[in-house]
Amino acid sequence: MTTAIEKRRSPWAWLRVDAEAPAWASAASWLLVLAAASLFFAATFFRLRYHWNWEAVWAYRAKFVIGWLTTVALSCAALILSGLIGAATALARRSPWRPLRQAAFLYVEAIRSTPLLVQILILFYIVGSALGIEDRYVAGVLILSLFGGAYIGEIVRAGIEGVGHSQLESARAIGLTPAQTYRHVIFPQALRQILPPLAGQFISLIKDSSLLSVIAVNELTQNAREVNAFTYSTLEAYLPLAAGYLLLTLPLSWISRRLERRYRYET
Amino acid sequence: MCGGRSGGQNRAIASLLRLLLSTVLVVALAACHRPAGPRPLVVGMELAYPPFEMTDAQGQPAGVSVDLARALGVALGRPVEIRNIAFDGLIPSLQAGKIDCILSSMTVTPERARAVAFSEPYLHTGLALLVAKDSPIASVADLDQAGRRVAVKNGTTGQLYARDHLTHAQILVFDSEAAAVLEVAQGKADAFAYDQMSVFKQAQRHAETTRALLQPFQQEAWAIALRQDDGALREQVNAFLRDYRAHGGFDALGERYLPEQKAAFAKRGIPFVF
Amino acid sequence: MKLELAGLTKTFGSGVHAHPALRGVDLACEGRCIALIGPSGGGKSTLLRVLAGLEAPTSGTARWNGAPLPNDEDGLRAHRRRIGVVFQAYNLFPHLSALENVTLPLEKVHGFTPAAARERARELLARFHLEAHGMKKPAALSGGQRQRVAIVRAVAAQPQAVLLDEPTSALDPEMTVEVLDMLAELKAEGRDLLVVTHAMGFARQAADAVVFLAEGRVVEDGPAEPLFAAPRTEECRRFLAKVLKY
Repeated sequence: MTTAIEKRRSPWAWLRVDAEAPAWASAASWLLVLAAASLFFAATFFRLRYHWNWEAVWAYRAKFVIGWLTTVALSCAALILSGLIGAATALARRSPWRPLRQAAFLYVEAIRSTPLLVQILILFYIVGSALGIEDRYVAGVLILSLFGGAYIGEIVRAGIEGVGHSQLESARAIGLTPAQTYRHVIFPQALRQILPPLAGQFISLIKDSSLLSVIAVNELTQNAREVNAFTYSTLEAYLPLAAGYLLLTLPLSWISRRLERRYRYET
Repeated sequence: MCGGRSGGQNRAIASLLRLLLSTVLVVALAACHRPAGPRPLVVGMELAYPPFEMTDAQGQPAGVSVDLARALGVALGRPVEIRNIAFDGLIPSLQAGKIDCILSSMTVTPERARAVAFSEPYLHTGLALLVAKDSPIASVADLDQAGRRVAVKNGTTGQLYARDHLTHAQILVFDSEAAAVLEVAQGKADAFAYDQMSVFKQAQRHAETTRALLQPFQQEAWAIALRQDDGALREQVNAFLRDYRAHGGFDALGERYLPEQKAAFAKRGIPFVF
Repeated sequence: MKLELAGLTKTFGSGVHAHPALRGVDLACEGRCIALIGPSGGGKSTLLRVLAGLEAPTSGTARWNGAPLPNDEDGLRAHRRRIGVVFQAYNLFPHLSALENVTLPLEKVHGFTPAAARERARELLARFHLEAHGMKKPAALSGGQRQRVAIVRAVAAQPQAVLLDEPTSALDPEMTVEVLDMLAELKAEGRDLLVVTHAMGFARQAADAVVFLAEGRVVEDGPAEPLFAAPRTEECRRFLAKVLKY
């Protein structure tokens, strides 16, 4: 006699990630998670008995807009420049010329081992003054780019070295020059490895731009701090600040995910 | 046996929940525990403003405001706790209840008076300018032109003055006094608008690169800030301040911490602060 | 194809880590299809790589169809452009489709226009029954199809010769036959081939000359059928008996 084996499913089974979950499970689970988070924050604010004073901050909305636009401009310039510096650094670290390799190594280690704040102060007040770079916005972009360039250089280098050695053999065998090999074989494949950490680094750069406020660069964080000083409404000033950065970083994350999917293929 | 979670997994979850529950209970009990004795007076100040608020060689709070706070504690019969908080975070901290009063060389302004209640003033000073040694600036009016750069510290009356009266100049806002002074010394800013005594001190310290324009362009009074609903404490503080002045407490502070300033001001015919 | 090698030596590394892969190879050999056989580590792959211009010999001379093999990188690159090479595996670039793998060297190395390159690539892929796979990336192809596309890439630019390093060693028997069939076709078309292989049957049938390499030296060489039927040296005899056991 045979008995049918029934699989006993617990009532919470629909929350598990498996093929038998119903189609609405994902949306329902998101709802649960977001509701819990909202409840938590609402409870904390309620406990603080915080007196919300949005009028005071609304009066300074122009400062937020100007600050946000400045952050966008600084970040864009720094992203592009640090990308270029990073690519150059990666190539320098793989150069057949020893001094170039060592110089690149020194640069990367120096930047990665010191806090950005210290770099900003030293590069602006000491090096910048010595070189005659007076404009703090130009200096700010340069400093951020140098900072990002070191990290991006390492990311790019890892991506390049991740391309299998046999590919380079193949490229040589069919007669490609080293430059052609980089362009047609290495970079297209390295891009796949590079994209996720690169997007992360770009997002970090946007947030790190807030440190430029120490040299009185008029970006978003600086403006939020000033509004806080004028109105004593800390949360009403800093919540828009967070929203401002989210507005910049979320699209970047989305683009990065799309690019990852496009370049995904089996090896 | 098939389907559902294994027994081992169930036990693991149960013990995790128990651990969580006991942690929460312990934390809650600890928070409820109240020490015996009078409640300490928590005083907030930014220890970055010598000789009023600073730290001594051992890292302990010291200075005019610290001595004043301790004297206040003695008068009220409460132990004093000094909290080191950034200047632009003092009023939010007071409002949130993290400190009981602010004794940090804070100027009375109408805007601030909307957020907090002030005691009677205990010191009178004014805003002055620190300029480069060879700067053509002679007074604050020279600053209200396009192309002029004015350094201020975030959250101070210098910043408010610049915002309201120096509309043509470029305002550079810094977190720290040191950064603003550096900017003036390096010629990256034309002037630093700050209180008289600090301007005097910085000009002395950076004698080769800066000088002070000490005649105040805005009079200011410093007071102790309290929560607006804390009327009882305000009465006690005002009583203390009257008493302290009558017994020469402020003169003693002046002698101890500001002898040079006293002499310099007397020489230039500027009334001293206390 | 005519090979004249004298005292060809290749040592990898130096000092205590020196590994002499070729120890003075002497060879005078001619034929449309030359097969290199021998035990593992004997130097077959190294010899092929030297002849393909991928390694420069440590010493000795090599003449290819009467002309000496270049020594400098630029000369070697020019030499590499005149011949086609197929490795045991990982020939194709995984980020390009089969068609693009074939057109890339045509366009970038041999100066074809994109349209001409595509035309030629399609023609060849169709010739070898691969036209249905042109748009696929290598990951979507079987091992045998990948090797055949690699061979198409190697012959697309009309090279002087095609050098193959164990092209079927990584394939199962059925795919092995596909690839060997293709090589036989190429030979029939008149292409020069140099094949390092363990497929003794193919070597015997298709090769004009066979070279037996062991421990970095040529032990025996000569026309294929006689060598397989009656190897002259003891080493060769032992080797063939071993590999032809099953």
